[in-house]
Parts: sequence; structure tokens; C-alpha cells
Amino acid sequence: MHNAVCSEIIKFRRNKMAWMGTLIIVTIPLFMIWNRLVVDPQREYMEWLMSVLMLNTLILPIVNGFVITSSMQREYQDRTIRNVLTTPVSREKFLTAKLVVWFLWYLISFCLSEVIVTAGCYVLFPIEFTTGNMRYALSLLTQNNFFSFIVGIPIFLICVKQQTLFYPSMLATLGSAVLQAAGLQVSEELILEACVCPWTAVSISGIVGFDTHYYWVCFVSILLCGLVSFMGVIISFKNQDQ
Amino acid sequence: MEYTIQTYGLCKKYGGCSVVQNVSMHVPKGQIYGLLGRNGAGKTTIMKILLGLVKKDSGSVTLFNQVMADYQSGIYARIGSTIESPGFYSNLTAVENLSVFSRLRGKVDRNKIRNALGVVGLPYQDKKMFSKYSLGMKQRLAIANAIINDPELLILDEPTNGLDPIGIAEMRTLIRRLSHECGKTILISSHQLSEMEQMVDWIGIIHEGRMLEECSYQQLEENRQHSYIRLVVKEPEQVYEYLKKNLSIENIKRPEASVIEIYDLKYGTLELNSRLFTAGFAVAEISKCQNSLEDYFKKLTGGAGIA
Repeated sequence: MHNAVCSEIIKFRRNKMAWMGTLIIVTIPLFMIWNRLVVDPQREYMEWLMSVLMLNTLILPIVNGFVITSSMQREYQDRTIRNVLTTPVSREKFLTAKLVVWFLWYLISFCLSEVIVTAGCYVLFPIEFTTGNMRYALSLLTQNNFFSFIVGIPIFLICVKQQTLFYPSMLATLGSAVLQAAGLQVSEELILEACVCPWTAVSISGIVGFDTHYYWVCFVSILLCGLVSFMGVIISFKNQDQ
Repeated sequence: MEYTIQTYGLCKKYGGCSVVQNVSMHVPKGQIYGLLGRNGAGKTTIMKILLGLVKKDSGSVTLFNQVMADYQSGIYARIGSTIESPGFYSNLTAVENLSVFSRLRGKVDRNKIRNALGVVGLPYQDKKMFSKYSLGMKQRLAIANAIINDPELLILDEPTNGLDPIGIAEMRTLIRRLSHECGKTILISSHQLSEMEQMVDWIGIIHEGRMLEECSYQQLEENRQHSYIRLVVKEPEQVYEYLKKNLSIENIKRPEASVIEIYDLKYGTLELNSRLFTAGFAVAEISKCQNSLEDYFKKLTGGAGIA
């Protein structure tokens, strides 16, 4: 497993899409800092933070989907998957290594983004820059980013199914991002339905409190989505002729 | 005889189409086994089944005397392979590509990478990306990747594709050396008869998914050595009658209008020519011929050529 992960890291280091993705993710808070400084200096702390969250919710799933699509589709298109499997590496290990390295990239990227958000808060809102406020802001962003990654695993399944194609996963990525953003606008009457849908549940879990049952419905829905999708990835890949 | 690869009744269907039908194959240890067949005959599918890339529908595969019921990394680690077109990461150099696959096997050994590239004649200190490689260079890199771990068995699917004539000759020498000097078992597929003739110890002829013949190359040589006399004459009808009635020759064929082929060799070319001349026939050409491997292939496949 360690070998498969190390090999995947070598490939990922030269993945232009991943570098581009990191740049875009890091640009979101930088853009919001610039916006507060130059365009809208009157914007308040909570409003600014929610704007960062909104942009994150929209952009992160898109970048995430594009990165896994490029990483997986290249294996099929360049036919490297045959060389990888005859190395030999078991199909489960190959997929798990892909997932691990994809997650590591995502983790590093959103951690960088959160560092910039923290620095932005310090510069833009020195009064609101308190431990309590920062703990809230970072936990909100971190939870949102983690959940967003988990509900992005179905894109991985589509990547395996589509093989050399790329547009099905691209479309699914855009759909997933739209649903996640829509989760922030859900009315009170539809909140339970939105909690059951894993993609809208990502945003809702950030709005509702930990102590509400809605949060736990969201949590289970997101977790199941990730688990079932990854099982689907393994089953689908194992049954595939290369 | 000890076999490295044995298959029994191997079958594979894609949709409703059978691409491999009841193939039984025996690859002796330490020998070069050529899988010969037209494009689409099922050679690559058989190789993919052996490597676990494609699931068989029925039949059994035995590698190194172990029946392959499921994925067994220990067995596959003893095999080096290239399947179809070389598959490498286009945005990486040759060394980086080999490092990726070496890392999957365990440790990245720079010396092994250097040696493998040296064997196939690719430079070690090359910053060129794989996407910029010529087809011949890509093919060489694929061979380097196959041999890097010093495997006992090499499965090479049309490894000379895209190589220039000198490259083909070098590859042939390398494959022979790997088998005869290093004792490796090599399963190689090709649709180029001339290539196979110069390389293999054993041959399996496959057509439309079926194994038509499997024998040693020596045996194949004996099987196909049906000599005949080829005549080009002005009056083929009369000559044909004369040969049958007057000289009592039975096995005669007329593949073309003015050509007669005599398989019943009771007369040599000199005597036959003399008799025809005496009988007043004008002979434009007389020669003793031998079935080529292509003729033999056609005979086995019922007329289908190799290309």
C-alpha cells in the first residue's frame, strides 16, 4: 500500500491540473481579501466569512472533481493502467492509493486556503479576530471542506465507469457544486429532504447546530454517500476488463 | 517437459462475440513461444487473460505450475510484460516513468533503471517527455519496463511494432539473448511471419480465437516442407493431360491459367523438362518450390493470409 501511495505521489507532483486546482483554491480567500480592501471596505466580518464559505462551497467541488477526473482519465487514456496493474498492484490498492493521494492534495490545498483566511481575518477584522471567532470560522470551513470531499467520491466512481471519457464526470462535478451551493438557500419546509440529499447536506450541516437531529441526518447521509460510492468504485473497477 | 504457461479450454466473449475459443496453450520453460495470428485473432486477449487484465469466461490458466484462480501478486511479480501500445505517463520522462513503476514494485533502484534503459538503447540522462518520443522509442521504453525487474517470464505483445529495420534486428537479438543466455521464458505475439521465423522455438498459430496448431518450430518446418515443381507452360490443358495420362502423375494443381504445380515428385525437374520437350511442349519456366510459412498459414486457416 505504501508503495502504491508513493508512486501516486510521484505522478501527482507532475499533475498540472492539481497545481492549477491548488492555485484556484488559494485564490478564493485572496480574492475575498482584495475585495474587502478595495471594493467593499464596509463589509462586516460575518458577511465576509459567509461569502468566503459560499465561494468555497461552489469552487471547491468543481476543482476537486476536475482533479480526480484528470488523474483517473489519464490512466485510461495513456493506457498506463495496464502497466500499473501488471506491476503487479492489486486493484483495491491502486484505487485506495488514488483516494489517499487525492485526499492529501485536497487537505493541503484547503489548509493553505484556511491559513490565508486566518491571515485575512487578522488584517481585515482586528477586533473580531478572537480565539472564539477563529475557532468557529475554521471549524465551519474545515467541516464544509471535509464533507465536500466525501460527497465528491461519486465523481471517482463516474471516472472509473467512464474510462477514457471525461464529460460525464465534469457534468456530475458541476451538478454536485450547484447542489452544494443550493443547500445554503434551502427553505425551512424542505430542510429534512435537503438533509437526506448528501450534496445539499454539506451546506446544511454548516448552518444547523451539532445538537440538532438535522445535523446527524446530514452526517449519516454524507458518510453513506462516500462509503457506498467507494465500494462502487472498487466493485466497478474489479469487474472491468483492461 | 516443464511448462511456464499452460492454458486449458480458455474462452472469452465480448458481448456475443467469441474472441477466444477453447484455447489450450503450452509454453515450455526457457523457450521463446511465438503466438502467430492475424489482427483480431485473439492474441492480445489471451495475453491479457494471462496477466489478469481480462477475466476469462471459462478454462484454466496455470503459471509457474500454479493454477491462477484469483489475483496472485507473487506470481505476477515474476512476469514482465508489454501489452499493445506502450502505456506511460506523457508528462513524465523515461526515468520518471520507470521510477513510478519501480516504486509500485518496491524500491526505486537507479542502477536497475540505468541498466534497463541501456539494454534497450535509450539514454539515461534524457529530459525529453514521453509524449515527445517516437513510436520506436516508446516501444523500447516498454521493453525496458518489462525487463527492469529481471522477470522469469516475459509476455511481449507485438514488441517490434514501430521499430525501424535496425531496431527490429536489435530487438530480435535482445529477445534471443534474454531467452538463450538468461534462461527467460518468452511469450511473444506477432502477425509478422518473417519475424517469428527468425526468433521462436515454439509456435502457436491462432485464427479467429482458435488455436489451430501448436508445435515446436522444428516440427513446423518439417510439416510445411512440402516441395513441388512449378511449371509455366504455353499449353496448360494439354500438358495437364499429358502429365496425368502419359506420366501417371496424380497430385497436380492449376493455381493460375498457365501455371501447373506438381506435388507428386516422381520426376525431377531435369527429367520432367526433358520429357515435356520431347513431347513437343514449350516450357517457359520450371522450378522446384517449397511452401513458405505464409503458404502453410494459409493452408491452416483455410485460405486467409496473415495480413
